[in-house]
Amino acid sequence: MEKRVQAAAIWLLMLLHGAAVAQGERTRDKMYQSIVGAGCFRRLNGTHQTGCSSTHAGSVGVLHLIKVEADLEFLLASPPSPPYAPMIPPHLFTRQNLLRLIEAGPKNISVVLLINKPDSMKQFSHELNCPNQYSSLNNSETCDASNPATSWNPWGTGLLHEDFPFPIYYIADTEEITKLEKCFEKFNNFEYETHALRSLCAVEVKSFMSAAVSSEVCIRRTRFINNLSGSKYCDPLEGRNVYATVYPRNIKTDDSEVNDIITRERFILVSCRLDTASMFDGVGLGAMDSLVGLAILTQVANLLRQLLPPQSSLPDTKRNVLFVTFNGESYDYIGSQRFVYDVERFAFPKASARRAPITFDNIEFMLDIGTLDDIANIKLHALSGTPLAQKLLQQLNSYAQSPRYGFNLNIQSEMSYHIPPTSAQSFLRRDPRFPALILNAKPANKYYHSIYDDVENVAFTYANTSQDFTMLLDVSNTKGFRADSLQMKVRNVSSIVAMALFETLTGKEYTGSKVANPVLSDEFFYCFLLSADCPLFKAASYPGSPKGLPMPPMRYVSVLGGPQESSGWTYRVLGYLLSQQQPKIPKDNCTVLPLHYFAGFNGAGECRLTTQNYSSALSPAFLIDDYDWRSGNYSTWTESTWSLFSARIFLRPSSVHQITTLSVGIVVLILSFCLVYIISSRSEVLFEDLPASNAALPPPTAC
Amino acid sequence: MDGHVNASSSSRSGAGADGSGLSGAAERLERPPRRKQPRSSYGSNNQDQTDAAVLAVPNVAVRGGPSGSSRPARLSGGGAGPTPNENEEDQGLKYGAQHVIKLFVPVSLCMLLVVATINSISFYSSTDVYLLYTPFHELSPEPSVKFWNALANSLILMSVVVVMTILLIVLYKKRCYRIIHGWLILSSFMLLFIFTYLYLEELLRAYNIPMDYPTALLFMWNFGVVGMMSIHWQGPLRLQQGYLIFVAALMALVFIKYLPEWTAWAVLAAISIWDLIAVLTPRGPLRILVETAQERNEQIFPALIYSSTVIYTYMGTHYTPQQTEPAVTSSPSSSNSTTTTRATQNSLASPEAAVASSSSRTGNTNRTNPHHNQRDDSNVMAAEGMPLVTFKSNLRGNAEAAGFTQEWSDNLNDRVARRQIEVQSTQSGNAQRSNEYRTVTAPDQAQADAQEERGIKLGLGDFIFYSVLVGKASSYGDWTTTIACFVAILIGLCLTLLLLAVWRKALPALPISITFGLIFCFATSAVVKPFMENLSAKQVFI
Amino acid sequence: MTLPEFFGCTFIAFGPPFALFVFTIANDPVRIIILIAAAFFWLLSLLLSSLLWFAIIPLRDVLAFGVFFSVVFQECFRYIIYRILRSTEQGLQAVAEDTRVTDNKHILSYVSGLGFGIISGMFALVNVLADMSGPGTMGLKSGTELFFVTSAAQALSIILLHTFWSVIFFNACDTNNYLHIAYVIGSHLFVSLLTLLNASELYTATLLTNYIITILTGLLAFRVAGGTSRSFKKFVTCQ
Repeated sequence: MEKRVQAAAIWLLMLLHGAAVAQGERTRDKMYQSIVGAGCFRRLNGTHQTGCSSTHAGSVGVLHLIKVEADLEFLLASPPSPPYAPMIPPHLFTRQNLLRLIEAGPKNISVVLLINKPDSMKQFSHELNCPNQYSSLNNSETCDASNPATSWNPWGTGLLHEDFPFPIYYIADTEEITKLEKCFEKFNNFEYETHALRSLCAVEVKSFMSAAVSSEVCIRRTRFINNLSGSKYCDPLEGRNVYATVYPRNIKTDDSEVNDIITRERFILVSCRLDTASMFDGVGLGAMDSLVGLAILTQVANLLRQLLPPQSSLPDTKRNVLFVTFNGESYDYIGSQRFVYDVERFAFPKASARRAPITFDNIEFMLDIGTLDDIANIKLHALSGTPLAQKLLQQLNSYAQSPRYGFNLNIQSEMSYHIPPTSAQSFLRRDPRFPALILNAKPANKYYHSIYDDVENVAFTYANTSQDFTMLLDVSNTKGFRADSLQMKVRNVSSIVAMALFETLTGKEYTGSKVANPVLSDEFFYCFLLSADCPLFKAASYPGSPKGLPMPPMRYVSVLGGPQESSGWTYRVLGYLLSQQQPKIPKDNCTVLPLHYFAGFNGAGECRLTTQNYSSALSPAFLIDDYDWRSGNYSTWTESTWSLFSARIFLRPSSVHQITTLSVGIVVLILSFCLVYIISSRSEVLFEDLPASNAALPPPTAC
Repeated sequence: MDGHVNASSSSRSGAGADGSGLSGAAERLERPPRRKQPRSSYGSNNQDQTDAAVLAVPNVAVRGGPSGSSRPARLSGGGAGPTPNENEEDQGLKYGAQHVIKLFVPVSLCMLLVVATINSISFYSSTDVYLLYTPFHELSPEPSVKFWNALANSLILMSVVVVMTILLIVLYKKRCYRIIHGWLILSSFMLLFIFTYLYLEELLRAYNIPMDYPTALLFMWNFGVVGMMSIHWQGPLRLQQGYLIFVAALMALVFIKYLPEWTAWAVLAAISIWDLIAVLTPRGPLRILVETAQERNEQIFPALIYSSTVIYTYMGTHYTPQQTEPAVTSSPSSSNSTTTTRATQNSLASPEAAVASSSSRTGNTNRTNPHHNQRDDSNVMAAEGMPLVTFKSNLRGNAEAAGFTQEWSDNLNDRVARRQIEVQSTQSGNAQRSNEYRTVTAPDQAQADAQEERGIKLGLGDFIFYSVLVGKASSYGDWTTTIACFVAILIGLCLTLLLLAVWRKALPALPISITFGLIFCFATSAVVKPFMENLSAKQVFI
Repeated sequence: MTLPEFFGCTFIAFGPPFALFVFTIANDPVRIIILIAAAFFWLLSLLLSSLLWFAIIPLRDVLAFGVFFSVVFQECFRYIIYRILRSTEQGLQAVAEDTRVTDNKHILSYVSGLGFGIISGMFALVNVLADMSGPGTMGLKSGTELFFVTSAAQALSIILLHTFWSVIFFNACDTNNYLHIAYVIGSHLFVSLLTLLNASELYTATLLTNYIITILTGLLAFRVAGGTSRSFKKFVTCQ
């Protein structure tokens, strides 16, 4: 019985609650319908602003669907009821078209909507033909934008570096697109000549950017002295590099050891890029342009960790491998510039890491993994054909072509100034003789730095094998992956690289049959391309720590206080794969770094001796007092702050209607004033029954 | 009413301590005994009488304060001629409605300014930074957690207020006027310059208007200096009023901006309760403060009180004449009265010392009083402000601290002033008048010449909290709630004024208005809003 | 931006009441206070009717029910304010600077009626006006462009009606004219219930009828307040 009463009470409560929630619909809910999408935002460098911003109150334009190029003509040739907001599918989102829209001016074109209809799309890259051109080696041979054969992004339009006078809003969801199209068809898409006379379906995009002109200006405005309320106008692009070593380094106890270690430790630096870029906020996975490189680096790390003998049994016991993933590389090599800057100043690793600083003398050579769009066309790049480069090339090829492994790859070499836009550029810029070797493939990515560089671009399908991805597999065991699958490609390349490094370190040829595990690649890509709630990330986390979001981690470098998802996950994954299990240490003692407790593949939990750490990826330009923003020495990218991105559609009343309403209102106002004045001034005449003293108002003045 | 009048007249007429005491006793039994003792301890008759009058004043809610023999002289010196109390009362009633409107307009303007700001400058409607004394930030989604957070925050805030008020009393009684005054000026300086600059910055940002530094600084300099002058020294009445309204609105915005959601509501409720206690209980600190100020013939400091008439000019001019006059007419008594009051207050703690001080001062008073008075007023306010200031400065940056303090001090002052509307008799700061008049119209001023005296006063704290209420209501984006709050507050103000007219006794201006405002705010947003939205969506009119 | 629409509708709805306020209310403090007090009482009536509407959940979607009780409550409060004003008349006489306020009882009723009307119009329209200042207009999902203008016009008629009703009602209470009281309540009910048709966009029907009733009520109020056709003639001919 009691339970029943309780249940009844609960029901009553719920009813009441529901009643309380019941809210009337406000008029504006009937007037507006919000549209979900991603906005293009503004970034600034030392001299320019790029990207887009709406007007302060929000940009409003009448929807106009562009199906074919000819539809643009209607908008460009004095449209009847400007401003308009063209909805453009990606294949028409070309440099030429957008420049024409810019030319039409904000009076005619106030908003551009990019709708996700990629059917006819052949290419979509808005990066420059020569990415990071001004931070790379200053040599015409390095990259020639006018020559597709030698440029590093021949499909690039450079729109990412344009400044648009209107907001661009990307609408990915088909339902939202349908909403827009329906509205367009219902209200706009007929009798164009009467557009000026009737209400039209319009869109309003709010994405006002508070920064303007250049980083220099907005940093100045943000400084405290100019800005009492502490509001920010822009933030420097800032992230975290993640690094780890194969062998743990000694913990520095006091300064006396420093010099000793500095002179004797020798590192092979293996690096790749962590971040990517795109025009729209929060969209863009950079699957092909940098994630493949990161996957390979991860695999190499895992392989070396498991293949290499203990450091003490190496021919040179002071040798080590340092893996670094540089963040912010898409924006003029922020991470690697900072790395170089720090190493020059003996500030890497940072003091809090309690490891001896690394100098350039400690770096034996650098192997930089660039973009590997097409693994059949990998080249080893170096400025000059040093013996080192020759040797490594020979080692790589010996494994790549070895019939025992059947990789069947051929790695060519290019020893010239035609260096790809990768992190090594920062090192070579400092010292052209720096032993930097770059693995890079011929550019084949038609969606470089764009929202479409996604799962489809790399043809990834998740196998979801649920098998142990940390173990190395025999070369013949492909776990059912097809030879041309992404997982196998990554397996092959990373095995080759790892074997070559193995040979370099041990001085012996690698003769084992174990190669990289394609399952690891499978899990890796799943985590980074589809969902952060994945086995690999779970294994690399503390047991029971919160799950990742069921969406891929953001890989844009972002700003201080940004999500920093990809560096965080990379940190864990590298930490997990490059650590040594310490079965004897119980969980309770496994709390202080370098000891760290991981969930492990099966989630049972294991204590490991880790080597990974972060280093700052903030451009040195923001550290140097009185930095000359125009010098071009360091990356100066900042990101404007904004308060919100929003888009909504509604009916925009015609000006005729507005003016009619206003004039009726004014007439009513004036009439009523006159009438009331006359009546009140002569009220005693009107209400004659009352005694004169009762007159409500002063006596009449005139009539 | 008559009784009050009579009492006042009797007290003024210079009736002995007894007479005044009786009148006071009629109204509040508790007080007279306490005070009588100190008086008796004094010694000199003159002093006693004056004391009695002064003391009686607070008790007596008589309006006709100045009518007393000694007072009239002062008043006349001030340019106002004494008139019979009865007349004053009648006039008070007659002018009541006008005075109500004279308060409605500035209160509405202040609210309007706040509401307009809240709706146009998003900076003020989002809370991301918090005050030090609201350590709980209500970040939890749980209503229960939020509730106790708000409760704890408001308790902390209120205890700060209480402590500061007590500190202020101590400071004031110790006559640390210079410090108090200095702090007051400093805090209004901060408010007028730094907070105004912040406001300007946010305003420009909200409308995306670029402005160069020379222009902004030129504007700020002129604005701030003119404001300081008109608030603390002299300037056109309208200008002073405008500045006071602006300052109050600014302070309200600061509260809205920095107090967490629920805390703001809790503080509103708590402060009106505190107002009630502080003003109405016999030992309420604000009452003591006010009485002290009145006894010292002080006016309320212009930086803290909105007045519909000119005050500050008198601070310089009036006071001197007033005080000198008393000296002339009933020189010993009047001068003594002020001093004695001080003495009495001191004497509350240690009678002998008080006597000594009073006697020693009496000699000087004639000349020095004017200054004292001025300072006293400012000190009073400042004193309240002071403690807060220091407190805050510890907590936060100077600017904010100062700003807050200022406001707090304002609030305190208001409370001190009882937040009521005070009709001001510029004249001598008869304690009586000030007491009474806080409430209603300015009957005292029967002196026709001094029209200014007819002015009505309302503490800036009331402005601030009214505006906080309305501004907070409008930050939810529903205009019906805002309007309902607005109407409710005005009606509450009306009722307070009505009660003042009826009871002739200092009343706090916050409780009724804030209670009405809170009830209507929540009722409207919870119940009326859905109903009206349903109606207006279907275009149904009722 | 449809600021023009916003101002247009604001002027239509609140222009005439504003003119009335400026010329007949603003210069007398007592009238202002009475105006605000009347507004407050209207608020109370609205609060009560909302509570009723809110409490009776099943009938929440039946607006006619809410409207009916709202009208009843409003008329009750009109009566309450009538009682209050009449009982404080003497006090008012003492307070009022302007004796006309109390001498001419119609002024009191007119002022309180205007207070009722203004607050009622504001509550009905203010959120709609706020929504109007955005860039859009009605019609995307439902409704027509005319929504705002008709809303404003309806609000104006309600404001004027409230004023007239109060004049008639107060006088009827003074003279025990039950017919007039019934007319006030009846026409109020009729007008409010008629606006239910606005939901189906029968604007011409509702607006036309409402304005006819407004004019009729205005005429009645005119007669009640002492106006006659003769005085009107005199007024028009400027004698």
